[in-house]
Amino acid sequence: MAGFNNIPPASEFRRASSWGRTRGPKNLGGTPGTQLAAPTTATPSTVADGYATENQRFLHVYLMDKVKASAGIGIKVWGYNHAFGAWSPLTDISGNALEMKATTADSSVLRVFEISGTDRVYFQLADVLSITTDAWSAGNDEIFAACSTF
Amino acid sequence: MATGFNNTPSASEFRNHSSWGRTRQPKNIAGANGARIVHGGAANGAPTTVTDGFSTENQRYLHWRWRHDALPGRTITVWAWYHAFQRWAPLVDASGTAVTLTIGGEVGKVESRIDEIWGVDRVYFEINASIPDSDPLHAACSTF
Repeated sequence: MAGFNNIPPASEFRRASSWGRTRGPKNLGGTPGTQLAAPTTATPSTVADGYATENQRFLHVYLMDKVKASAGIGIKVWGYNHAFGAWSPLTDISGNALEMKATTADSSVLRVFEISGTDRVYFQLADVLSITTDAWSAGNDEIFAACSTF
Repeated sequence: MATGFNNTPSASEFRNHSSWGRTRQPKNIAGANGARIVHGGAANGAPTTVTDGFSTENQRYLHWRWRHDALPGRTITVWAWYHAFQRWAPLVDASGTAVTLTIGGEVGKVESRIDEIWGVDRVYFEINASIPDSDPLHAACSTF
């Protein structure tokens, strides 16, 4: 069938499950409500580490230090570009490191970073922003990440 | 049917603000033009459920305006809900600073802000103390 009344193939329709470019933040870990794996102090080494961003523009990160053992929790964001074939700590377009911390018990912290289409991101438990990070408390602490694009 | 420069466009050519977001013109998140988020009320505390607050329709910018007519020292804090996280958190700007608006008792003072919200699903306005009926808070969202 052809002509002006042609029925477009399904691939021509925008789908929320498509590869990125979603206005609504899309969870990097899976379906809505899925937490990321518990972060560790290890640095990323292979392309399989971390999470695909689907080349979106903004990275939203939610962090909760439920019990706060001592100083709080620090997170450093790493980026992987297929163009480089390597990981490195991310900075935004102003040169600021993509780092965040949660230093108040049972109080959520939100950050939105511009990642400009970086292919993958990795969340490292790290000493950042003048704190020595506490260990991750599995089952208590929470980390979520999502990406959106405009 | 008329044609040329005087042609009457079909109804489908007009921007319809009942669509799901992506409006250049700020769209009131509380309802029709002029609808108020808050028109008097008590301190409301932090949000707890997904139905709290207002849908942004995943737009990019939040415009909000508050006219403070009577009581002193009120602060409104914006929270963000993510369906992706199933959580509320205080909204921050790109530098990590909490998005708030404070008026310190100047009668008739009007403040407004435009904040980037990057498509968060819902927003909620936490009031730290009661405000009178004469204090309207309006909010709208737009996208570019």
